Amino acid sequence: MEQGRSKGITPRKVVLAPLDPVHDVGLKLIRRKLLERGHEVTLLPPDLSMEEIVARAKAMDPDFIMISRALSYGISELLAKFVDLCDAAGLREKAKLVAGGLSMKPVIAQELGFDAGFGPDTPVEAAVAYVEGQELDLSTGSRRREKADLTAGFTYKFLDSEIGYLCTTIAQQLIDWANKHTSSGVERARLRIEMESERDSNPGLYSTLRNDYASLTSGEVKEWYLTGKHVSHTRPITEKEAGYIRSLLKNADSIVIPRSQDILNDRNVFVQYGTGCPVMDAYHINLSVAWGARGVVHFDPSWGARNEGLLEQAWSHEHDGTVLTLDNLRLIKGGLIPGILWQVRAHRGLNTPETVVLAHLSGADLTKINIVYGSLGAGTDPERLTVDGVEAMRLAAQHNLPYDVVTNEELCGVPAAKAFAGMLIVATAGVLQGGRPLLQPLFANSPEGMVTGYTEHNFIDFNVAKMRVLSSIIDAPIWPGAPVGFLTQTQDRCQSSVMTALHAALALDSGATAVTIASSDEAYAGGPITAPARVDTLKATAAALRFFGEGGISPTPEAERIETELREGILEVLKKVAARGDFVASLYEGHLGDKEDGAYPGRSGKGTVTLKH
Amino acid sequence: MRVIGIAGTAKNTGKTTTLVASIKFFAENQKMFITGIGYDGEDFDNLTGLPKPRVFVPEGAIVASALPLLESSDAKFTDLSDTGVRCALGRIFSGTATAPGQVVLAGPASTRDLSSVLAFAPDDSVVLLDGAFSRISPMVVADSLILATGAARSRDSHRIAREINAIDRIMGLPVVDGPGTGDVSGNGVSKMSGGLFLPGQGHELAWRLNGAGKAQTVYVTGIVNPQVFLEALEEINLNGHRDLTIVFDHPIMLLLSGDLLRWEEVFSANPEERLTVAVRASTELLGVTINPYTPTESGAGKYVATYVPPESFLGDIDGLTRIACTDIMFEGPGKLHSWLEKFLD
Repeated sequence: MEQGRSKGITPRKVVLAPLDPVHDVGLKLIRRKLLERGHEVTLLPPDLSMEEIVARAKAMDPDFIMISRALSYGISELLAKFVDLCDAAGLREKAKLVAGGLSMKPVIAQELGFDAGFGPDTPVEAAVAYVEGQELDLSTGSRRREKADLTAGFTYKFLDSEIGYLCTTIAQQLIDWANKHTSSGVERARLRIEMESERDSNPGLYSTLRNDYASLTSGEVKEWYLTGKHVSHTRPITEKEAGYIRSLLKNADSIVIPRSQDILNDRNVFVQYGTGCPVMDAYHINLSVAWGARGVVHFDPSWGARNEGLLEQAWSHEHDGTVLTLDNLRLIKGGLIPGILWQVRAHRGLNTPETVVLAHLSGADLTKINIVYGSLGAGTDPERLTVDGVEAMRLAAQHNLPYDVVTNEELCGVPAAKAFAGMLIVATAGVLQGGRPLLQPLFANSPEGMVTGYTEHNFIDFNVAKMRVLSSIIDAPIWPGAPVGFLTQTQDRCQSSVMTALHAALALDSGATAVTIASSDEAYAGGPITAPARVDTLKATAAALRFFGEGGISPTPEAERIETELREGILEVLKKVAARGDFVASLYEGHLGDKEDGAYPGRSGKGTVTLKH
Repeated sequence: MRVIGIAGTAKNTGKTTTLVASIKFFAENQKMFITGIGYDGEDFDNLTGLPKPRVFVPEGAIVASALPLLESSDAKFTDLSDTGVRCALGRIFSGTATAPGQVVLAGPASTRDLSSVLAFAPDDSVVLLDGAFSRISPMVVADSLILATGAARSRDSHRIAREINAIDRIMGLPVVDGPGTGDVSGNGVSKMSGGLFLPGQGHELAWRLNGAGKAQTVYVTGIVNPQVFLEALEEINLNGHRDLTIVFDHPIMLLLSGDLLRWEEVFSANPEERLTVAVRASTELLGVTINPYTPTESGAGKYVATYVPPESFLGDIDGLTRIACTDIMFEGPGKLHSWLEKFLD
């Protein structure tokens, strides 16, 4: 029996007993660590009966007896019998009994009568700490507590001067045009800021401003402001429900972080939430954080993008999408664990500037703005969203809120070259206004990928080409999404998790600053997204990162060809838009995605833009 | 302080149901101290995921459980005392319920720790000691025992009846005075320590008995496996002994290793005029509760609740056993209450 030396440690006598022949790897690892630290360790052979183990242990008079066995219903009775044998043999006068193996956890160890139980996620160090009498619980992992600055270190300088020149020219034109116009969306954002500053200090003025605000709303939102009638499918959040959310923060430090997820600590993996119910959202957020998510994205209901105006107070909504109100956001913020990045998206509807205001007022870290996607893929009139989008970017810069510029119009069928051209124009407009945009290419098996054959042989080349072309154009953070893996996932949770995890690993391996992933049931959820499905993809992503490690993922030479085609395509689109000299017109005329691609200029808010006085 | 243990022959044999009915019986007029040797009272079983009976304690009951579980119970506890014993879920505290409510029991797992925790039970209290799985070793501290068995142990009512009879017979072994802890060898008395639960130990016992001295009383300490004991009996020259008495520690030591039903052979092979099997201390078996419930696996790791016909299952077992049996859910708690009344007398 070999022994090592370790200063200041009382040597312990430890018996390790595998209760079946294929489950002694963990015990061998424990033996090695214990020996290194100077403990006296005996690893028994795996073919002994329980009675023989007890007899041998009795002869050794150990301080600890550690057994390993994968647990099942039937096996649990055998383990209970072993505990009884040890007890009756007098071993427990001195020795602590420890069980380890698949499915083992502290409550089961307790029920079986062991002094401690270690599951498969438990590191060897936890077993060593237990033997050495340390209170330190190494069975749980850690969580980074400081927020990452996703835009830190990026200069936003164009590396491709030709594209840079075109983007700057177009972006300046659209800013100049937008600055001469306004909309009810812009006006409401201004009113909301004033209302919130007067709400408590000057109720009279607040009431006047609120009436002004109501006059700029439409549909059911207007009806609520005027009559108090609830918007369809909503109900107020109760004080009890609000209490649930607040209690989450109170217990934040007791959240168990599985050690297997520690690999996500230094990666910025975002998940989306928006169940409709802020209470459910808060629980889903905490669950996601516990499994390694570093950021969460607030999803609002689609009707909120089509109605002029946002509600006040806290609401639950019986369908997907959590209603955007300052109270709802503040409630959710109240349950957010410190250190978690929180994005409130404001990219697509008639309330884009005001959503940025709410994001700022509620303490969000990030928002999401894209004029092109919102205009061509999300139903908002291009002219209106250009005015509102420019204002939203100005507000985001004013409030120091970075935002991603998403390109989900690719899902409609818009080629990546057009979507990227639009993203680069909008991002440039943001930078020109002092903002800090993040580029959000779609990592998916997009219609274009299928039609052109880019994704025929693998899902690596097209996505790597996207990362490379963007990185070669501008020094800006890239945050693939949103979420990654669209149109590669199926109803099968295993398959879905694998696809999500591989896309996330590819994104991070390709230099992404962050990545957004879906739950394993999100792509095909017939109803609410389930908690286990959230854990699925976070675990799968951690596993994929562990698998690839520093090994990396290599594309085929085809990636280089796609990259070249993408760059040429982006350049061609930008030239057309620049030549047109009117960004809004380009949106309507299909330069950034046309009907043949599957992009249709939206009609919500059409005719609502006016010249500024 | 008097201790009633509730032990099972397997998981899901109805220990919790028996415990809950016993708590109700004592709730009105008896000071209670409640603890368990495992984990019980949770809403859903940790292995099957199926719903479980919940444990409600009345105001005034003293409960010993892991502190986090007492703190999260909806029964409020006062006079919390650290027992100094630690289990897998934290330090075990005892506390008095100031309001009735559900509680999860996670108590001491070993006999030694159980003794430490029971030191916190008031002298005039009845201790209800909840079992876990088929664990029975710590029940040696109990004055009386209620055994829970049923379809989760076996759907074969005849096998269950045979097991009950074997346990009843073992628990009813006569109690004789022990030799104490000193060396008692000589004068027709022999002592063998380390139990009889490994192959070869029976041979050693026989060799010693057949050797010089011809001991008339043998004290065997530790766990005894019936098969090993049978091996010894086959080798012992009983004709060479007059009134040989073999004394074990406690009946429970005979229930921990090997096939319980092999004890039938031991007792049938016992020529009463020559061999007496006895114990130094015992626990009274009050009765047996029968549970027709059993979880059945319906796919990998998924379980559904199933039942054998309760009336015939109980009837078969009751008709084949000497000790009183009842199905609390089927017959009501009347028989159980009569056992508890007898215990109090």
